[in-house]
Amino acid sequence: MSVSGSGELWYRDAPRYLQETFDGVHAIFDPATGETHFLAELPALILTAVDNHPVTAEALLDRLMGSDDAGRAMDQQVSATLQFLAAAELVESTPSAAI
Amino acid sequence: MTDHKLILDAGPFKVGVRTVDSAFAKTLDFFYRDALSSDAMQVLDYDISIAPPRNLRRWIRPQMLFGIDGAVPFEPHPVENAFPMFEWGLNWCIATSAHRYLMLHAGTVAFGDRAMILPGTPGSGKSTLSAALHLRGARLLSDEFGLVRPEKGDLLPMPRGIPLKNTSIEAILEFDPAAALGPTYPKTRKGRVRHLRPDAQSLLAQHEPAVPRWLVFPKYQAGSGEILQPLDKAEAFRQLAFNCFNYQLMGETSFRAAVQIVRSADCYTFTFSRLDRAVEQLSALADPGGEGGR
Repeated sequence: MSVSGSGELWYRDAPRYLQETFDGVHAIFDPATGETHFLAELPALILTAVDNHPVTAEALLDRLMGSDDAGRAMDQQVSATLQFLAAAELVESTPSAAI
Repeated sequence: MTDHKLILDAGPFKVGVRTVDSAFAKTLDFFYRDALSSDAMQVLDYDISIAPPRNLRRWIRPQMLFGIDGAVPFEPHPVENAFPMFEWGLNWCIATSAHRYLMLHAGTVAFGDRAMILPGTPGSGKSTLSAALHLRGARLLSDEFGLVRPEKGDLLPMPRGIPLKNTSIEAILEFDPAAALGPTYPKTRKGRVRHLRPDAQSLLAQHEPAVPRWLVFPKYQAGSGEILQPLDKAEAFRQLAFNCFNYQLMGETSFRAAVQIVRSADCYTFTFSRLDRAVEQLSALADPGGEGGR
């Protein structure tokens, strides 16, 4: 099964963001834009993963969700979250050289 | 014509005030006698003049101009509105320049050294509520600015006249018929305005910071009754940032300061319709007999 957007490499090329968690909601300050974002668990988890190391959506799904059927069913959610984080300018993508 | 040169001690700011309008000088004295001096050797944060224009409006339907450091940023106001023009002009000066502090759009009062922050947009009732709490013994920090010192996370007082607008004037007089209100200004750009004088204790304590302890988002709603509800920290942070004049400008400093406030304070929303019950309920949070609100 391929993940939509899996031909891209997701990364964050910006100064480290600040993060505070309040009752499961993550307040993120991005010094690159000066914006403050409020993220639920999944986007915050994906942001951390992408910030640590550039990753394809496929690899991200494997790392976060595992390779069983329940994990694979999350692929659209992961892709949508990556698009959301990109729209917020928290992450970027580039065509993956591996594809 | 007397040339009045006064220095107003306004919390962290030293404000020079020059005017030839004796009525305005007298009103300043009514509100800030304990914070006024005439020491010409002080370094000023703002050098304000309240002076007539040089044209015919000096004599015909006379007006006054607000000058700051030699510039005149606003249109003239009728001479009888010199005091509210001064107050709003000083607020503008602070809001556009005092980025040494995180500036919350909030009423702030203190019980001892514990601050209650009441952020809110115009119409939320924060000024009227701040006035009522002050009349019942809370120390007035400010009705308009919550000045946060980011390196310490505390609030700096700047007690000034609280402008009550339109029906809020009657509401405060009904709450406390002996309230020390200044003159009525019937035709300002914000409607009918009258100011509550800060008490002498608040002016004397205006260099004593307070630590944020309660964060209460008020909303006046006629007939609603008084409803105080805990607010989750994430939403409190979001609303606090929204009600901060210079949140974006100060970037990371704002974020860290707002986090510190939300972490250290009990956070609530508060819908109210009656001032007496509202003050009773909020004052109960600050019950000195125990840790009210925890």
